[in-house]
Amino acid sequence: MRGQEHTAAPVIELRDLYKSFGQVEVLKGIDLTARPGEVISLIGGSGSGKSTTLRCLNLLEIPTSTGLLKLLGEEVRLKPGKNGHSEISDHRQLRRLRSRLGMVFQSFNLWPHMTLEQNVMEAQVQVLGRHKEEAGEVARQLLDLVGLSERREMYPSYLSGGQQQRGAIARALAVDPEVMLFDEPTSALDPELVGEVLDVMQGLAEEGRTMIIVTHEMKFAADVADRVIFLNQGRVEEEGTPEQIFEAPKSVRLQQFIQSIN
Amino acid sequence: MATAYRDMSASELLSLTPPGWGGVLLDGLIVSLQVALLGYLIGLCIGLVGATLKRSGGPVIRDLMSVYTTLVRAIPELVLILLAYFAMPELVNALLTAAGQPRIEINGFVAGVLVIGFVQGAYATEVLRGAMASVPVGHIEAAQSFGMHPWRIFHRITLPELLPSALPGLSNLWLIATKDTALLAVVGFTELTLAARQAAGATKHHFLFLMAAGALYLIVTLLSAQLFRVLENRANRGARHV
Repeated sequence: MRGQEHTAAPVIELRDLYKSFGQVEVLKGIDLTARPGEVISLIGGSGSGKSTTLRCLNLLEIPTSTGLLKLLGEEVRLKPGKNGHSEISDHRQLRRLRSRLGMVFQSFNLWPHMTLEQNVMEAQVQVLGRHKEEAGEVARQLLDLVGLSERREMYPSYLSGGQQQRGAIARALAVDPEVMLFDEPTSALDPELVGEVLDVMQGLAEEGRTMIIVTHEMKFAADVADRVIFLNQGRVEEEGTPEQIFEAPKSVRLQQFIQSIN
Repeated sequence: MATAYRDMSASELLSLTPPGWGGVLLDGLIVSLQVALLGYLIGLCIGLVGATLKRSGGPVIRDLMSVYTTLVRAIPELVLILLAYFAMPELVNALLTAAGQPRIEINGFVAGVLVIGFVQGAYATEVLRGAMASVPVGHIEAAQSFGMHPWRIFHRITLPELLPSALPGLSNLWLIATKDTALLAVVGFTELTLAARQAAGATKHHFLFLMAAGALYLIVTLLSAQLFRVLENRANRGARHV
């Protein structure tokens, strides 16, 4: 994808996103546009707002205000609520849009009372209304893709962190999402397990999937992303290709950040 | 008759057919279990609603809930049963008459079910609230991120995930419910305890019949414990036993 001109309509269009928790304003006007097939990495120090930005995209956090939030070409309807915060105004629309996005969490969040295969089947059956046979077939293919065919009958608590996260990626893929959101997918993993998860993600990027990845893995961001966005104190400080960001950082903050992680 | 009872053996006295009183005891047991089960189910429903309200509701709802729990904690269940059996019908019928409706009869069965449901509801609210709090937010968010409907999330994720921490408490509440049915004896409702007292009074074999009633309560407890153990094992199927 890299180097190509992105001309297709954006799958995500976010303008002027503000978010406060109580008195603390954590996002101060974020813009983000993702086009089909793009891999975007959000980087930044802790508290920079990168996870919150990602979680606002599928409304797990409700923006305090936003100029525009368009998912898959549809504007998400928000209405003013109490204390000057926004609220969801159309839950049905939100569920429909969410079902076309896949999310992978830092802490995996596999459902502990279901086997791996049942985890991957759940949203297919409960949200898409697929038959169990079909959902099971999809689950087996996806678990094969992430290298977990042998473990599909196992419950999450019997799996390593890396296996759980690969399972969670399979679960997110099961609904054929148009965009995959990754929220620090390797931060909770032991160092020796990070590679197996990144390998799976790299494979997805090479397939041409649209992905937005919040990550601390700078080498991965540099290798896989088409575009890197550096957040600092709730604002987009700098944005560009991996080369621009990692080899020729312009802002002092970004230079410091890159120095600090090397 | 009284003389005849004195000469009968324990097994004759406990026989299911008259002149044995076993049948009366078993009928009492069945009625007790019905009252307990219905009251327990009502309590569970109140508990689910109460726990959800307590977690998500505003200050007014939370205050109302704490008034409810305080009342249940403060008032002896015996008093609640007397209220439900004697005072509540008066009130209800006064209202019905004022509205030009026919009067209704509240029997011991209904009063028992209502009181046990009311009391169990308060305790179940606490048990379930704690259990709901033990479900990691991330597991709910994962379901939300797929666009799952809130009811399905509750049914497919929240409920099965709260059971491991709720079942020990719920099992306790069930045992309390079965024993609370004995309080209905005071309003002359023939459940197991009153049946045993009637048998004891008629035959003068107090020890035998009260012990028999005790044994029946014990059997109910043991079987219930077994059932809850099965449920707990099922609820904990994904948990790792080290």
